[in-house]
Amino acid sequence: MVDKTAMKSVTLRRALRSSGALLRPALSTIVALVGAFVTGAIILTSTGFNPMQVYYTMFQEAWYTEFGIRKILIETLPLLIIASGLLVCFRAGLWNVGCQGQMIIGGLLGNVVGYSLGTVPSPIIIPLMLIAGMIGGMAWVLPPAIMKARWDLNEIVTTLMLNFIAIDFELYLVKGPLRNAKISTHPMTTPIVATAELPKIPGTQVHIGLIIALALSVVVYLLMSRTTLGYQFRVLGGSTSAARYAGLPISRLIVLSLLISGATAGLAGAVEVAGVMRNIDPEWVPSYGLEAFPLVFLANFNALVIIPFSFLFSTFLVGGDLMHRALGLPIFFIDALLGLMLVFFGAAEAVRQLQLRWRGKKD
Amino acid sequence: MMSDAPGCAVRTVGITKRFAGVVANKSIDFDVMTGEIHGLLGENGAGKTTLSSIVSGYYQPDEGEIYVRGKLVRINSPKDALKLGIGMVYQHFSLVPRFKVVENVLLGLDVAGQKTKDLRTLANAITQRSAELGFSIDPWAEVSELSIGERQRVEILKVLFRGASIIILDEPTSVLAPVEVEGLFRTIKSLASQGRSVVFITHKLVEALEFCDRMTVLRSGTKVGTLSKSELQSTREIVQMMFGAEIEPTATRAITRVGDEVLRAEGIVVENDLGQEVVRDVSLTLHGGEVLGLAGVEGNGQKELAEALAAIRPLKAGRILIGGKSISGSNPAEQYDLGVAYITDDRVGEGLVRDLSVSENLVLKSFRRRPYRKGFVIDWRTVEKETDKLIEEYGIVALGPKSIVRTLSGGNLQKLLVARELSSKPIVLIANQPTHGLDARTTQYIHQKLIEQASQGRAVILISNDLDEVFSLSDRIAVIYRGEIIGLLPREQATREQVAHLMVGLRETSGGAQTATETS
Amino acid sequence: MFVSFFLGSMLRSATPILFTALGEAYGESAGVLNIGAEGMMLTAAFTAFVAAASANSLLVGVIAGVGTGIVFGLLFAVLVVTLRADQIVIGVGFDIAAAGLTSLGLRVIYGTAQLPVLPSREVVDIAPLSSIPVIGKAFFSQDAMVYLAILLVPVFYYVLYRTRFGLKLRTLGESPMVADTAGVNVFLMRYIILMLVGAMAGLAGTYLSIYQVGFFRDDMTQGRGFIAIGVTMFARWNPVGVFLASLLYGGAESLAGGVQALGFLRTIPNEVVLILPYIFTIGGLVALARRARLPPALAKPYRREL
Repeated sequence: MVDKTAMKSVTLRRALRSSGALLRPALSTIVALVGAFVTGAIILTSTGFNPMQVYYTMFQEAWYTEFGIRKILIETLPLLIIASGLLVCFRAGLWNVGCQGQMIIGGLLGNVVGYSLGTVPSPIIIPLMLIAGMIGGMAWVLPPAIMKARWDLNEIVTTLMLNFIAIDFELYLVKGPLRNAKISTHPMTTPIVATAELPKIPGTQVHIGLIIALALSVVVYLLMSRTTLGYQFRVLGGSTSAARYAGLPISRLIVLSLLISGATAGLAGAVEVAGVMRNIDPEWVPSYGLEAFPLVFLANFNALVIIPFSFLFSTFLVGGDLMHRALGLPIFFIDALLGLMLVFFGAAEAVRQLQLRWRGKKD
Repeated sequence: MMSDAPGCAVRTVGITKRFAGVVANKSIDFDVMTGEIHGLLGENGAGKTTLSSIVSGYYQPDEGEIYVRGKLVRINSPKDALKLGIGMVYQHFSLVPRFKVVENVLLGLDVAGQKTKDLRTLANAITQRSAELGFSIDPWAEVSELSIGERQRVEILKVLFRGASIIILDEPTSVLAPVEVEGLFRTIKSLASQGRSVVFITHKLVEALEFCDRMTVLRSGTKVGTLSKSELQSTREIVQMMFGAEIEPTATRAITRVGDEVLRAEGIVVENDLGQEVVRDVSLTLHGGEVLGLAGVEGNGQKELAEALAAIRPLKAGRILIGGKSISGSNPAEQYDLGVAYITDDRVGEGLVRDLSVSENLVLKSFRRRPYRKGFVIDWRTVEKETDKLIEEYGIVALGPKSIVRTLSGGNLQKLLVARELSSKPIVLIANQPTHGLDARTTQYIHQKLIEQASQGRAVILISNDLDEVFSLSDRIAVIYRGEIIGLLPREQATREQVAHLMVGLRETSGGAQTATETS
Repeated sequence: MFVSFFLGSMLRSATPILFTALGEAYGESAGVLNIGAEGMMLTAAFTAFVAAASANSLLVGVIAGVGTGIVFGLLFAVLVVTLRADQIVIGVGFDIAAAGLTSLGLRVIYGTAQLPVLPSREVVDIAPLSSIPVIGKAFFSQDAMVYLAILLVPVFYYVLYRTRFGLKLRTLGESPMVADTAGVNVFLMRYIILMLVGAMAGLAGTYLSIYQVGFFRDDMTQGRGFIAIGVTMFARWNPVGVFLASLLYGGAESLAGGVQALGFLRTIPNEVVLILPYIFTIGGLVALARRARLPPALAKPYRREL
């Protein structure tokens, strides 16, 4: 029926081509990292710093000191949690840029639950806190989600506006209704009760939030790769017209994917409160939301790859902080690096797409 | 270098153009004289639009040369073409619906290097010119508010105002009512009498016969021949050139016993995205075990009909019954569950998600069904096993179930689509141009598959513009023209010639062509 | 007295949004979504400040700021028009990088020392109009940049809707193919438009740092770039609508500032007023942009494909 030998040689050619297609996304990541670091080196040199010294110190402080390692583990947590959720909505083709705000609201709600249910034992109060965090995050992303699903209003603008609103809302709440009356020196929220604190992993100084974060990544991985819902998200993100052709419930998918990313951001906030902070000061504006963005891209939207990348990114952050203290280089350099990574990644992906088109034409 | 005959406006020599492995134009020699109306005929995919797009600068040829008024030229962009006096009116996409008439005309104007006119002057000129041509258009109306016929006139005005001396019209009458067609032709005739050349791309033979001085026929990318109207003895000749010689197809299906009715459409009317009625009062019935071949040149409403049957497009009027039950307001997923599979002609746009793998695309419509779904999890292993089987069975050239669809070639994409739709064992299979652009071997394979479906008691609607295909597979043949079914015959009573004539709007085969009666 | 002050401050607050949004309106009408406006504004704010401080001249600052914007617009164009990279990814990348680079630069150049004081902005007094009670001072006694922004509105409107250039531009956003077949060089035109978009964002950032505030602060744009994008969308890309919306924004922002400064209406918490600009943007979108017809070609790279 079909000429098998001829087919085999063609198959081999195609095999090389498609494995190439699998390799290439990793290439974009490498280009992104290299490009950013090289550009960073140029910037450093022009501002009088020695790039080699800076990079070396960054990694050395982060990886070779006990303090560094510990900090990395702690910093990775919220990053990983947020990135896991972002991955879901990115793959559905939606851009949630308001994770900061969602995290704040989640943290606040978790905080409140954490001290108002004082007499409830740990195994109950902790999950309740975390769920409260998720609810907070979801509530915060719900308006933009509906606006997008119903009226196709740009979700970048709406989530970002709510981001800023959250920051100011936090100020108001912490200085006002949620203020801890017992402390008169500066405004802060009432801390959560001891039973609500996340216990540490036995034998380490890191709280079990890390386990939660890792578990979450695995859950997201399974969700995206194995469930019908994850599949539908991927189809939607791949081609809206195909989604329509297949009869998928597009509005519902839009809202759900955004809710998931809001929930994880809120969860991250609650975890931070329960594991590290205990209470919130009015100027708490975590930057993980913004940092998770390039992270998800560089990890190529793969929920498992995000894990090592979160460690990598928090190495940058922690290392950057420590390096800043050692060498005096302002920590903003790290943010610049992250932004550059994203730009280089976008450019590399574009070149890859162009190449694919060229190849396709030749055949 | 050959010197052109005097009065030759445009001449192409050896034009060849390839797109992603398909040769759209193969070494085409074509010429148009000054002041002539030259028809460019052929079925879809014959290469007419490609050739014209090259002459008008949108594409550049891979090989070949173009001479304008005897001089060798290089046309690298539409701008160059316009400077040389070559203007093309595309079948779609030439007007911006949100802009006013005068703005749309202005858009073309400036580029031709003409004196800049302000809008008011231009509007007056438009009114004047339209009056000269016998119609009236409000220059300040927004194009989206105009009827299709009126929009067509704006297109013509655009071209006229560009001062093009060589005007190419791509299927300009495909959306006009007969009355409007009259007006168009009057315009074209006066253009020609002004010394301009008009190239008239069409698949509607009746029009070409009436208005063209000469006709060139393309088929499968090559030029079959050029005839002048005076030389033409009967329509048979041209039809043969367009559709190929009459060879008895080798693999004709034996007519099988036909089963119960599985699908019935009654008086359905469907609108396209622009709100025009493109399917007008169509009724048909499908029986298990039969193949209904729906012949027609693309653009006569087939796609919208297929979408309506697959519940992707809503009905404006009429109803569809599956197994005796009316389905109204159903969605594609439900329709699929009811057993209606639809092989779309838009492979990469809607049919497949390019960034997903072969197996992921395979379950696009069936992922909710057992055995693929267990609870809310997709059992990928089962999917992949099934994919492997289908890859093997259909001879799809791909690394494996996990390879990304983007890397597959056109023929394999189609095989994948067919495999997917057939694997659900549908009751009704709608196949829209299923072998379009495929090589012979793949085509044969897909044909076999379709026959298999029918022999297993399923109903197949084969929508195609390929007469060979229609004749070798169908039990009954219908022809769709301008949204209506204008002929429905059992295969043994139909001849290729007859069907070919119906496809282009002719009712009879004879020396004198007779237009099919059309309701406006 | 307060009203006069309020009105004047409203105009000043509106100016950065107005500049950016005018540019974005052109960009989006041509089919390009510049999410990196925030980053361009911020970078321009920074370079304008540094240049103005070093040369002790606001004019030098303006040149530097606008120049920065143009350079970034050009860079964006290369990535997005020629390479056809995803406009959102590149834009967000710009935003993040800009925040880092500007704050880094600030510290590298000035360390912990106090920031230099810029020459004060010159107010151009249009006498005798400025003597009109209440609105006189507010509307006719502003610095040149505010006047520039306001004057640009009719210019942008006219060019966009009444000239051939504007027609071609709008065609790019509606249907690049139509423009292409009409002989417009889609790529060149988008390059030019993006440089304009950058220049406008540059103007906005410049105004913000060296006119409105007087120095550079970390992340001083505070989302204004995105607000401008929102404004552009619900003003339906019409420069006049953009102007009105920017004024409203300016009102919200200066109300917030006024409440804080004057302790007005103490019963309303500060923060509620602070969020007005953002609520305003969302509200505007919901009220006016529902199912708004986006330019069909927005954010889609163009290639020739029949």
